[in-house]
This record gives sequence, structure tokens and C-alpha cells, in this order.
Amino acid sequence: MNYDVCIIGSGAGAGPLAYELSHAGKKVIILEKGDIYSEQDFSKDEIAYTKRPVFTPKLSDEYHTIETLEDGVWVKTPTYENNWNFWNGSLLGGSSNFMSGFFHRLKPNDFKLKSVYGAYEGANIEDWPIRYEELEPYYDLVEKIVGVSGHITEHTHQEPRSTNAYPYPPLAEHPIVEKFDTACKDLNFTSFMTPRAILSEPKGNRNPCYYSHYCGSYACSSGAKGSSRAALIQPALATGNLHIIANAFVVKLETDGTQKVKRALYLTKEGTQKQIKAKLFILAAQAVESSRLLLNSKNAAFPNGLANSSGAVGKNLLFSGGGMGSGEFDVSHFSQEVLLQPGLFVNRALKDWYFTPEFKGGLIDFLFEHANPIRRANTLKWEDDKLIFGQKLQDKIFQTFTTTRVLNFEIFNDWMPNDNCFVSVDEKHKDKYSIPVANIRIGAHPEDVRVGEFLATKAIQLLKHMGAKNISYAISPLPSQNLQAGGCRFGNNPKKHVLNRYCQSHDIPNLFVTDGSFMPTGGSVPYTWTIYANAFRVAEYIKKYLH
Amino acid sequence: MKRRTFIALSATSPLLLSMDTQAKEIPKDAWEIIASVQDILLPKTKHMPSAQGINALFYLVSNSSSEYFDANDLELLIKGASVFHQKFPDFSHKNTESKNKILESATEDDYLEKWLSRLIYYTIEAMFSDPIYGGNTHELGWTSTLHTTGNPRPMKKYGRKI
Repeated sequence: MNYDVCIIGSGAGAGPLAYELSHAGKKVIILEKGDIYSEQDFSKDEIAYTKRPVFTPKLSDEYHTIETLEDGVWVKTPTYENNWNFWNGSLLGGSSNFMSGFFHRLKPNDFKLKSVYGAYEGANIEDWPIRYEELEPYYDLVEKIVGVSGHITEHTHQEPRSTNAYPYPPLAEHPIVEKFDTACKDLNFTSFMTPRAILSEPKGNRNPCYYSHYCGSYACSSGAKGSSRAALIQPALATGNLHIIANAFVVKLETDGTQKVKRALYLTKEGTQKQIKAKLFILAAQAVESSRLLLNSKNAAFPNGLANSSGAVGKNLLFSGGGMGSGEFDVSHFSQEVLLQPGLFVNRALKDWYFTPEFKGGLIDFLFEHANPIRRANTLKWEDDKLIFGQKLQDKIFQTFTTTRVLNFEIFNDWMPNDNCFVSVDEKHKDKYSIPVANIRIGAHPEDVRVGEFLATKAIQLLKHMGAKNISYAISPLPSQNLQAGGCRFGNNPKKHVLNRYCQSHDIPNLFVTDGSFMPTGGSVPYTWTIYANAFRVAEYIKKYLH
Repeated sequence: MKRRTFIALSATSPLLLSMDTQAKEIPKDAWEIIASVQDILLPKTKHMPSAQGINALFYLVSNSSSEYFDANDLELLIKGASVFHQKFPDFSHKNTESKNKILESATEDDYLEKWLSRLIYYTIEAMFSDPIYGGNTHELGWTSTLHTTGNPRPMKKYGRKI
């Protein structure tokens, strides 16, 4: 069958396209690297979801190479050696199944960072080719279709909104938020109520949150979490216009004489090569893998890889700057029953320093440490770099679990795009299918750490005022691997940019890239909401393009 | 764990009987050494169950044959047991106090410290993973620590589809 649209991947950058185009009557096919799961298959199994490569490839089979700067030299390490896993979810819906769903919009100035703050030496900051106002209707659409719950907090950097409320009321909160709010008031901070892509009320076939206590890193069993799978692909399947091929690893896009993509070649789980033809191809495999596929698809007409006449594919890769910290609360703060009350959310953030007059700041999200008892107990076996065991370890586990709870904070600040953060492929390193793997050079700009440190002082100040104990934090130039963007910048200059303002290749008109790859700068928030919104915007364009 | 206990366990456990080649090639001595060390690493206390009480060895043996088990970890666990036994051949015959002292001294050796650290990790896995994996007997790990687990619980191991 010749499809109208072939989508590679099924995460946040793919779901809105599948949803919109299938509802518009287009014949759509998704090629998903992983398997298809439904809510009934999911459970709160710490082993399967966080301790074994069940929903990601085994690193011994499929890996990345990571380049880090050590003593002035870039050193390349395969991830099967350092266990730094850059796969974030190979299943229908991709990593959106496992997100925590902290949903923050970008703000108008995020779209024109260079104009507002000027150039940063050593950083390749660029304004976006679109403005916030162009994306706002699609942020709004995501609130309604994917489902966002919360309460709008008025604050200094509040972005303009076309509605004055989220479509779903806030989720239930743990009493610790009273301490948070009081401390904010005392310190003259704004206690920001974090919107979540988690339903607090039913929506169609999706049930509301049931406060399972195991949320972030776990797929949702009620459909409350706004994963691409639950919120977009399942309704798209209901149109009858969407077909999904699971366990289909796309290894090459082939072009024809008209310099359009003609077919996607994919490997089945068994390694058999197959192909899909379509009029239009949408690449949404997450930033690193999308660049890898374009680079691996080089041919005589496109010797540097597809969509790469600019030489910019893979360049200016983005993660999120910042780090995390924590403070401990115990039975001196709350009764044991209240302290250990499971399931309830914190849903608080600080955004007062998202912008400062002198520099771009960022966001601080607060959340309880994930419940995962294996991870938690295992962290207790070290004291002053010495291994403890026996009665001492058992007592420590018991005391920690029964009398304490940790409030974490996560800092998000802009990852400064720079020449030493990119994706390339290396013919020397190939996966089990003999396909060159993605090499990721991770070079951080000093500003990333400086801003992270600045924001950490604010979080620490708050935790101290709340009376938290054992407060600590770590800001690192090494990123979290699950927040990926950049690599295929959009912009108006075909000589500099991979994609045009509609995320369409400047070189190949029937090729779009709709995961986070398009972002010239990432802002200081988790990317998912913006990827969703942009994909809805691109879908609107593609509908007209195909028409 | 004494050899006869291990043999009895092997004879009665369908999971152990169905171990794949990888696990079958592991000498039983290694598991015996591991079991005797686990009992000291996580002993029974006033509030907490022992490694044996939560079926830690059974958990490790049965899950080490899974395709998802880290091959490097398995190699470390088995080789480490051999190195430990060579260095402390009388460990299993010592009393609890002496065993604790031996493990204390073992932590001074980088390799054995790494081995013990991994062994603690997998014993903790046995204590807090869902009982479907063969450990956490009667949910003792969870109930002892007042831990509320998430729901739904897994009906199949390793995320297999229903």
C-alpha cells in the first residue's frame, strides 16, 4: 500500500501528526521501533521499568558512543561500557509514556533569546523563526486534547494565554505544599503551581489519575498521563486511517530522482529488511536518533546525509542545563501517617528567576523523590565513601523508609547550543544490525553551570526555610539524557538551517522532522509540551500542503 | 546456606530447574558462597527480614538466567565469589561476629568491595521487588518498611504483555 504519510517514531513529535492527519482522512502509517502496549499491560514494576532494559534496547546490542572532554581531550566511550543509556523508550508512544508530565510553556522571550540577551561568547544562540504568538493556539490545543490539569499562577513572567484556566482542575496535593507556600510567602517568592499532563477527571476512554504512588518513569495504567500513545495515537487508530508497524527499526530513507524521499527501509526484530512507500515522511525518532537516521541515509545525491546541504544536521544538539538537589523531611515535620501518605503530588515550582535583567535564568520544579524502594535502599549502602552492611545497613533502611521523605528539586536552565555538542555517526561503531551508531559529543557551555548554581541557591534557601534537613544539590555540565532537542534547526536560511519554519526540510520537500530537533534554543523547561504544540502546528501546515 | 539446603532448593524449585545454560554453567559453590555472604550483608534485625527470609538467593539464581540480567554483573558476582573464597576459605565456618569482621576487611580490597556492593544491590532487589520475581517473601520487604507499593502490581515478569 502507498500511504499518504509515513511517520517514523510515535512519541511526542509524532502523536499530534498521527492524530490530526488521520482525522483529516489521510492514510497514515507509523513505523515504531518498539512494541505496542496498552494500559492493561502496564504495572508498577520497579524491576521492569527502571532496572532492566525492557523498554529500551540492550546496550550490548544497540548503543551510542559518548564523547566527553577529559583533560582537554575528547574521549569517546561506548554506552555499553559506561551504562549511560540514551534510549528513552522504545515502545508505542516513546518516552512520553514515562514522563512525569511537568508541563510548562515556553515564554515569548524564549523565542528571541539572542535579541533579548545578545550573543553569548562560545554559544550559537539564535532567535526562532516563529514567535510565541504563533505557537500559543497550539499550546492551548494540547491543553485540551492531551489534557493539562492545574491552576494558573499569576507571576512576573507569566506568558500570554488565550484562556484563563486549564481544562482540568489540579491534582490532589500532599500537605507539604502548605510548608512550601508559607516559605515562599515569607521569602517573597512566588509559589508556582505546576501544571501537569495528567488528567484529574475522565476524558473519553481515559480514566483520571488514581494516585498510584509510582508515576515518573512508569507508564500509566489509567491513561491519565498524557502520553502520545494514550492521548493521541489511540484516538487516531479509531479513525481507521492509521496503521502501526511495531518493532520496525528504520535504518534508511531512500530518495528518488526527483530528490524526494521515496521509501523508508526498516528492519524487523529478526533483522529482515522491509520498506514502506509514502507521499510524505515525518521523522520523529527523538533528536539523537533523528539526526542519526538522516546522516545514515546519505546517497549519491545527498553525500552528507539527507536534508544536510547546510551541513547542520546533528549540530547544536540541546539537552537541559541545571541539576538537582534535595532536602529531607521527617516525623518532626509531620506525623508518620501524613509524611508517608502515598500518591499525592507536590506540584510546586519557582519561576521568579526564569528571566533576570542580566541573564537568562530558569525554572525549579519540586517533587517528592520517586517511590522506587530498590533505588532508595541501594543509595543507603554508602557512608563517607565506605560500604556499610549488616545491622547498620538494615537499621538505616528501616529508619529512612519509616521516618523520612525526601523533597527533590530539579533545575531546568537553557542548554547553550555550542560547537561541541552534536550528533555524528561513526563507521567504526555499529550496532548489532551493522548500522553505524550515533556518536554524541557532549560539550557544555560554562553558562549552563553558572545559571544552575544561581538557581540552586534559591532552591536551597527555600528548603532551609521549610525546615528541611540534610540539604544537598549537584549542578553538572553533564546532561540528563532524556531531555533531547536540536540537531536539525529550523530557520529561514537554507544555507544554515536544516528545516524551514514548518519543520520541512529545505532540501527535500516531502520530509519533515517534528520531534525536538527543530529547536534552535530549548528554553528552560522540559520540552514535551512545546514538541506537542509544534507538532500540532506542523500538522496544520501539512494538511494544507497535502491538499 | 549449606550445600544440602541448596540442593534441596534446586530440587523443589521449578524456576531453578528451568534455568538456562548461562546459569547452569555457574558452579554451585559460587551460589553457596554468595548465600553465606548475603546472610551477613542483610541479617535479620528487630525490624527487618534477613536475606534468607526474603529468599534472596533464590531470587538471584532464578533471575540471573533472564535475558535482561546484566551479563557483566553476573560475571562479577560469580568471579567475586571465587576470589572471596580463595581469600577467605573458612568464611562459612566462622561465627557471625567473625564473618562480619571478614566482610569488613574484604571491603578494604577494591575488587571485593565492588563485589560486595553488587551483592548488596541484588539482595536489596530481592527485598523490595515484586514477589512475582521470587523474593520479597510475603511482601516482608515492603511491610517491614511501611512501603506502599504502586498498583497495579505486575502480573507477568519483565513487562511482558498481558
